Amino acid sequence: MAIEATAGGRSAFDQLVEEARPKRTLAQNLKRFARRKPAGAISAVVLILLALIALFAPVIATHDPIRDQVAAERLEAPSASHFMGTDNLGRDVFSRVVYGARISLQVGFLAISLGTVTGLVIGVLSGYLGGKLDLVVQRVVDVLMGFPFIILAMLLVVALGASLLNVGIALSVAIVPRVVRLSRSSTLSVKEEVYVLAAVTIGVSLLRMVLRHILPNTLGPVFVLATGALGGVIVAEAGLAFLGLGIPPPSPSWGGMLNIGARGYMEAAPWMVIFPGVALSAVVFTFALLGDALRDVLDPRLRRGDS
Amino acid sequence: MQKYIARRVLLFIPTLILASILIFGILRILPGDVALAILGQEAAEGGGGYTETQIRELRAELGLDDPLPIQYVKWAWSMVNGDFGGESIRSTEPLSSIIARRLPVTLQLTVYTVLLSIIVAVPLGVFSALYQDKWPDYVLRMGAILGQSMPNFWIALLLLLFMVTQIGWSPPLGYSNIWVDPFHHLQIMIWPALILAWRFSAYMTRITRSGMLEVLAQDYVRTAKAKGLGQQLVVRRHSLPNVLIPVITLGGLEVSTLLGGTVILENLFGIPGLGQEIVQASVGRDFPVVQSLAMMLVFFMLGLNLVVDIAYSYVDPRVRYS
Repeated sequence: MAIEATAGGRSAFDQLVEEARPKRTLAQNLKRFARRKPAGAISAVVLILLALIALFAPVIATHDPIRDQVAAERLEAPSASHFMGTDNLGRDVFSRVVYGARISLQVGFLAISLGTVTGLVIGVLSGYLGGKLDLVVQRVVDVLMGFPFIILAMLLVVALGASLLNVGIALSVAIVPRVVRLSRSSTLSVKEEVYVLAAVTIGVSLLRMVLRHILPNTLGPVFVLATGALGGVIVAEAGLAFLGLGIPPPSPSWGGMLNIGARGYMEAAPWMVIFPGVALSAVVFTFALLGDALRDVLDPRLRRGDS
Repeated sequence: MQKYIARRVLLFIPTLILASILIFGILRILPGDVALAILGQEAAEGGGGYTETQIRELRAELGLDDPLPIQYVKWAWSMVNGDFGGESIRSTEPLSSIIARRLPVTLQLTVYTVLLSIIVAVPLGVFSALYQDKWPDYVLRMGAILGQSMPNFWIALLLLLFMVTQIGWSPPLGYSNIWVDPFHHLQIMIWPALILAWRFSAYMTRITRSGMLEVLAQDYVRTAKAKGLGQQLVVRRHSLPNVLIPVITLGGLEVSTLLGGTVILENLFGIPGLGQEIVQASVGRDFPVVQSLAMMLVFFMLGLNLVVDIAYSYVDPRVRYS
């Protein structure tokens, strides 16, 4: 078949490709995802719910998570007015768990977005430019990967001081080396592609090269890593708070609530430990499921002839 | 072989130096002044204030008057000569004695966890592989996912809660040295070890399972079956030994990830290991202790990886040439 350029600059070949590609709307794509990966779809729905809970926390919560302290209602068991009981200061556990979702998600997204962007910039540049920069970056990444995640975060929180922003920054630093490693390795393989050579030949600038030709092809795996890591970051935030190194009280962080509950209230008020823990585990579990499903969908190497 | 080991060991030294620079650097990006932070915290706790002279004295005591590179070299040298960065600000206990007291506890906890995991994970992994995609396989995989998605301190709290409210039994308070009172020692250590082992054995089971599946597909296994050997013999003599080598080395590399969990569980169960000390020091802004213990933990993690890498290269010669 002869391929002729048409007036609009589009070749017949382009048109052929266009016609051969199945046309799907966003809704259709979502439906496909739900059919193929029910677990992933369910977890996505749960996470949207979670985000809504976090967003509308003031509407959902029945009490103020910090200021409503009623001394007469200390350590009350779950009831109609306090769905999850009250804590040692007479605060409503349900409202605190609801607001806790806010903190977890805020820290989680802050850490992940900061860590991913920083990691991508360093990783792609290091992989594309190579040379001495790459050597230095790789050594630092190796060493940072050798740090236990929580120790690195602890050091940073000690250095920066504990606040929501600082905990987010500390956890983002802990993710950076993983993102750097992944984006660098995919950059290295993309770099060998013919279209990159073609772009070099026509004299594309560094910025355009990285943004238009390299970055889009490294985003998929990094996105999967970030989704999977989000659960880990939320656990780490809770872990830090549990150790007394997280966002300081009276903020209703799930880890901080577990910390108070574990200190002498386990027998008198088990609900202080149970509900924040259930919320935390559920969130982490759904993020893990979603990460798995996304990996199957976004990583073509793992697809098993079903697409 | 010797060349490979020499190369790895030589690479280890710059890695350690870089790690120490990072730790030192992170603790120096503190906005403001370490001495001020310490005195401010003490004043807030004690309710009093502090004077200009106190700040100056503390600065001199901590060596903060020196330029940063000199501070770093002094500290790095003290890590090498066994001084480990001086003493704790809060208890004035020398760091060498803190480390001597607490390091064995953390190591013991790690050893128990690894032993428990191997005992549990290897049979389960083999079992899972033999029943691939049948219900025992699914049950085990679900258990592994649960173990990996529940934060270990939450599992620990549930366990304590269950024991306290349902059986009326809680782990004994206080810690005993294994050589003094082994029974009491194990009673305390068994719980954090079990919880850490759940997650760890989930990983070990997975690699045993996939290794086993790979070996079971080999020609020599088919030959063994064809000449009439029973399932038991095929698994024990022809398959398992080939699976165990990668399992143990890969498991060894993963041991370093145990450290994070150890830090949290030591605090929860009141086990006087390095993890408990570094958290207490972090909460109390005891900078010399945080700095030196972080370095010790990273040293062990990197050292362990080195040993496992070298061990692996004995087993799998291909590694040496890559």
